[in-house]
Amino acid sequence: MNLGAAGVWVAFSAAIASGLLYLAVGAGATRLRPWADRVFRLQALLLLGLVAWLWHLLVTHQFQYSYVAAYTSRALDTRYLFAALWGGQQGTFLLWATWGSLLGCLFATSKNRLVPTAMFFLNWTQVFLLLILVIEGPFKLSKIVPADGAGLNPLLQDYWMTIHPPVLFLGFASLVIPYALSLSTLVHRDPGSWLQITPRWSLFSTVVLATGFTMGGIWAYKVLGWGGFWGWDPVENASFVPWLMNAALFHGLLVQRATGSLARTNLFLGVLPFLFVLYGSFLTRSGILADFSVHSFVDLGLNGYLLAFLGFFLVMGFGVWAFRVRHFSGLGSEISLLSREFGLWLGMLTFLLMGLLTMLGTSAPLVSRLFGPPASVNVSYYGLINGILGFLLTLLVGVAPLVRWRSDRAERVARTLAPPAAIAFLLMTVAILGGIRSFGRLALLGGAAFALSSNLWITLRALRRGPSFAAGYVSHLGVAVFLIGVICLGQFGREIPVELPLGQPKSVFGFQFIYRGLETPPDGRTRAVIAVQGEGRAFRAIPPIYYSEFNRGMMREPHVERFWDRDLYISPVEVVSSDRQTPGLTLDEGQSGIVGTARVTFLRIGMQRTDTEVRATADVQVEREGKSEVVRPAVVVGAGGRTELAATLADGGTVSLSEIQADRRRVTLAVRTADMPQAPEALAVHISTKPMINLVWIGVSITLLGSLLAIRRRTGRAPGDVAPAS
Amino acid sequence: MKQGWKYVISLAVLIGLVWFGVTAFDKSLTPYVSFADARRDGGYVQVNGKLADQNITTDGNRGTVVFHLRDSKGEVMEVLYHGVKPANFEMATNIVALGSYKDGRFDSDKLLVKCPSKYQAEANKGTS
Repeated sequence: MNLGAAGVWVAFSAAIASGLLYLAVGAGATRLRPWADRVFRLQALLLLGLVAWLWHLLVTHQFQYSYVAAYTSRALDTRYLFAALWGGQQGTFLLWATWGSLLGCLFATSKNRLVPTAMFFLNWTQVFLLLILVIEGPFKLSKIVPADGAGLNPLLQDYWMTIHPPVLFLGFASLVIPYALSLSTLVHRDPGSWLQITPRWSLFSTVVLATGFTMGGIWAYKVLGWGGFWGWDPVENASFVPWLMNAALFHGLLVQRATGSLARTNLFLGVLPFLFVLYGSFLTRSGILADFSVHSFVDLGLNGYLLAFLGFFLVMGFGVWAFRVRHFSGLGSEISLLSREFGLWLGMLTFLLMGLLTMLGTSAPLVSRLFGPPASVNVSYYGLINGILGFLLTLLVGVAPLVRWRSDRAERVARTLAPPAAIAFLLMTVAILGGIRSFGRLALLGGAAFALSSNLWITLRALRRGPSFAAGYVSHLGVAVFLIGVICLGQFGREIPVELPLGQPKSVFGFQFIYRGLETPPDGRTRAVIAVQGEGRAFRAIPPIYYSEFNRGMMREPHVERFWDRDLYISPVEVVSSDRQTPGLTLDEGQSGIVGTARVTFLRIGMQRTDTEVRATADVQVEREGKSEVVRPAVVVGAGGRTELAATLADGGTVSLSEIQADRRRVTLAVRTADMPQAPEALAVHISTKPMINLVWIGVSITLLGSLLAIRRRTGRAPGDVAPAS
Repeated sequence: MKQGWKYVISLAVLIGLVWFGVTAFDKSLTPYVSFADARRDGGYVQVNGKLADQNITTDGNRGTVVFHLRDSKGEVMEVLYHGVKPANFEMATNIVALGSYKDGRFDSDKLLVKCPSKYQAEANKGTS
């Protein structure tokens, strides 16, 4: 009997049962509440059991399960055997369902009166996820039992990669709580309970998601070697957009708490983040983007279910909102243009727009299909959109915290804003002197400096009342620091491609690099050894560059050398063997050239075409030490690809045809005579500097710290439950 | 101050930003075309193919990689890529190159390399 598959069925039934029970409780049968909770907890226990069971199967190499065979092998390190639980798509559904059930258990303990109905809505995710697991779970048995599994992609065998998916999925799973609370509030018409419980869950999602994609960024930077930490890839956007929507929700809740307005907007915003989680999952898992993303998503045949999942939550969320929203007050009393809530409202709009436009870009292959051939957007689109909206946000973040709730006097606001604005202009002047000429960068830098100084001032003022009062402002500080770091990277970062010949020193960025050859540690991951010296430091850079059996290709990882003010980022490209370095000689028909001691004449070109291939030849005369010979190197282009057929000289040298321009009767020859010294092996690398990259990491850490402080404030009994009017 | 003003201002700003966003979106659309169309067009496009052979030349000092792609119609095109050869390059089941056709070959500044593994094969990206 397949224990795993049976367990999934039981958990699925439990999810159905708990859903019905919560429905009954929400409808008034309160005595059923303990039973609903019990059945839900049973589901959570079953899911935990399934996780444990899958781990057991992975660790004990039960290759009769196709999931185990597809993602692990006997040679795999134990910790990666555990990580393989979320190595494949089916496993991530199990992870998501498990987090969902655990969060549900925690959420259900809350005394808030919205909880039972919210649990009913939340439970629907469990139903759908478990349905997907029933259909395409990780417990499928295969008919053939392989002796060993395929193993895990070496790129994924990294510490950060191992831990970031569970964090991201915790974030995704948690966004169902604001969704469920929104609907429950609409059903019960109880904005008071909504305000009491929603902020802390929204903050929780903010922190967890941001932690998740920060970890992903660190992994990309450390392992992938393209030098960045964020690439606007669909998978990244699928986690960023819900985060933005949730940020809009949280700021809306602040306004609602302080002024009582925005009830309708916030209930709508509560629904959005989770819908975007579902939409993002659909985009990235359905295979629709397969031709446009670096991710090779396999269509598991789940598209229908994923779409149903999304459609169900979309109709349910918007439907309940549309039917019940009239029971809530609208914008309410007049909002003054010069009030904190107006600033926050604009900020929310900016968050929403950022999210929608980013998602529009990610969906380009779908959207463009409506009008013509599929197309994707250039990555620069995301930079442009988020740069401009980000600039608006820095201004709002700089102004809003200094303005009073409800209404303020223009003259007082101007007086308070003058110092941060002055600091911003001072920094922009310094930046212009420092060589920044790009208008966009200057604007963003000025905005970030403005936000930084204004929030620093208000943080210091709030700290007098206790750390938790400064929470939001500290988060803003972090964002400003992060932006300054990003601008420094873009402005002052440099990259140079260079070939390092074996044993010969080369100078780049004031450092001396000597390639010392390759070394292979016991784990088989060959790495290049480069001795680097400069800035009073001498170190060995050992970027891995090796052939991976799993990927049937070369793997490359950068070496990152950290300094306080920058990183030196060394990306290996290729070990260039000696024959590749033979200089090319480009000749027209009848022309001669000299290579070393040989005189080379290109006599004539020849072309033969058959149905299946084209063969190009060149008759080449080589004269050396009084001897002359004519050889005929060729290039064959056919179904099997392009093959160079080198001709051998009498003395053992070679002539090959590296390029042909048939229409101009011109060829490029690679000639190596026997007496030519073999060029030494060389290592091609890209060396780049990452100035102020630490500001990026520090900024993110400060933001996370601020959000954690905010959670403490929202969950503890701190006297700061009402936002202080400044 | 009248309430109406604020709606007008918010709406105007919002419409302006949305208009800007949609224009930027429209401008940065990079169509997916066949090799033949890429040759004819000459504009910034993306093409998709398999490695035609293992004849891949890296010029470490210029930071370029030259290789050959074959599209689904069997047509072969030389690609000059400016940037670091992405990890997993040689084993890619499919390579998407973004760039434009120039001087007899496809001049590319961005590659998307796709691997035969499944969902977990995240992000083997190459951006110059």
